[in-house]
Amino acid sequence: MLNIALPKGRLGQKVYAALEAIGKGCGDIFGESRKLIFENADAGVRYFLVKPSDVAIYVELGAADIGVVGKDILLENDPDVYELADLGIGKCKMAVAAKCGYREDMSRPVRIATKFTKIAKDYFDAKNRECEIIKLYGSIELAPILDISDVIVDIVETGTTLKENNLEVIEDIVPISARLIANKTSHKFKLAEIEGIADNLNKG
Amino acid sequence: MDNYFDILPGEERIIARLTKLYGSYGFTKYKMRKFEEYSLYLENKSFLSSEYVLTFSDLNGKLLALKPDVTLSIVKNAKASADSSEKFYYHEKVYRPDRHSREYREITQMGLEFIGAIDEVGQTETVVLALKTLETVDEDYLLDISHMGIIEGLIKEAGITASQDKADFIGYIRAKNPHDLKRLPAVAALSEEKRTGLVAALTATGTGRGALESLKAFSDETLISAVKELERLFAVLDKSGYRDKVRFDLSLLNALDYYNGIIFQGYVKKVPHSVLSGGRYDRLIAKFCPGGIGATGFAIYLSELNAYYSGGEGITDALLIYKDGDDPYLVEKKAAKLRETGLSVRVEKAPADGVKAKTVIKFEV
Repeated sequence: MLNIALPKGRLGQKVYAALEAIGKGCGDIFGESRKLIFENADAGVRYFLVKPSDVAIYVELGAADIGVVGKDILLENDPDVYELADLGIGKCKMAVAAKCGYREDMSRPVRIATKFTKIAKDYFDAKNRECEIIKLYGSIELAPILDISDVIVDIVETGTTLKENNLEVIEDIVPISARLIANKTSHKFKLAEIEGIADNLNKG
Repeated sequence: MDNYFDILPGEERIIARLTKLYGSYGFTKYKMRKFEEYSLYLENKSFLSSEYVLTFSDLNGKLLALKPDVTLSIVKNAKASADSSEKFYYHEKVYRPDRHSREYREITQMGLEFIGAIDEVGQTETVVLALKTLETVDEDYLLDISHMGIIEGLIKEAGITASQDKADFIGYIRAKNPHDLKRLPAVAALSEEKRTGLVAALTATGTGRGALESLKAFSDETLISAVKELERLFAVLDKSGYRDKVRFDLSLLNALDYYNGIIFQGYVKKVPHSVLSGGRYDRLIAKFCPGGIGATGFAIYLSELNAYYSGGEGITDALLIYKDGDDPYLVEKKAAKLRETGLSVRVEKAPADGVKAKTVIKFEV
């Protein structure tokens, strides 16, 4: 039995469709039901629907053998797992954004609002730029508008939210996409099952 | 003797078996203090799995630390030379932060260190002992083996010098991440043959022997001699009946500053992370013991096993229930008689919550 952690939401749905196509389906798991565990004993799979940012933890702790997670979560939490494949879906980028026309004041530390404190810190540390990080959990775009930060570090997909709030990308940090991850022990003891799925997802 | 071990609870049973195993190979026990001077860890920070160490001041103002590691304490006092080796095993507690709870944890660790002139016989013996150690825990085990010379050779041949590039390269190898690895400029600049060989080695499955073959696309001397050393080791292990238990895994890496030769990491099926880790650390010993000697060793993390190997313990065969007014002499006599038949017997006035017994016997005169 292979345990698979899928993120709730669009990304999970896409990956699940690909798994369904190779006979690893489990019915309508993204339907109205509030169930979080789905099992198909014949296909030898069990799915857990979890919060996207928790996928890596389930996999690292071995509750799930494999999982699908955004590169942003991997960079932010640095879990001890194998990253087997770039699935090439859920593409977006991690970027620094600021109010249109922003000019950086180099005479003081830059103030950054973000959900991704480690990514932001690593990026500005690498440039040796002193920064103050303000951790927020949502509506990050508000921070520069209300002047609690100079810039934000966040995921940018289409840029619509930024535009509507009169913000723009000033620097790209790293491209993001969905990755297939595996628990290290599982990868050794359930190698054939995991590789079978990895190969199929990679092709898709 | 082994039957005697069976009555011990899980962790103690493993400790008893390993003590017997290491003793049978002529390793002697090394007992150390609970704390060390903090400077030892400060000077060898990158040898430790975490930079956080529990410190406190001694009465004379000296800064001490609760040991986060055992190997450093042993090599600090090593007296080995090219002609006389030291073989120690230990069973100690170490204190390290837990990644998830962000709190310090006490970890029981058992392991061994072999310091002196280490040749392939000594190296093989250490790996075999690691395999036997895993076998003691669970028959479903695997030992991943690699050689630090491979990563060194790869870094050299790919011409990676900047520290950030090196960290990225090592990070992608460690995560078995071929997609981001291929995007690294230094890797993209490799010849087609080398790049394919590298990716094939990283994503190889099975025993990993094919991966060793793929690495021969490279020509760096350190790398090639490491590959050959591994092939000789695997040949010996195969002959000794360990073919299905050992694998070459390129993603296995230890700290470059300290480790140099064969390194390995053990897994058992029930535990989601590695439980045993070790390797050759000549570079660390060189800092303490000049004279060109070598050192190798490993540790198994026993407390990590507890959560996954419990059950079956704490169950008594029989619960003997007496009531008020029963003669203590007769109750004791009855219990003793039952124990003579080989049962474990717990005497209670009433079946208590949480006391598990296979049978319940009511005391009657």
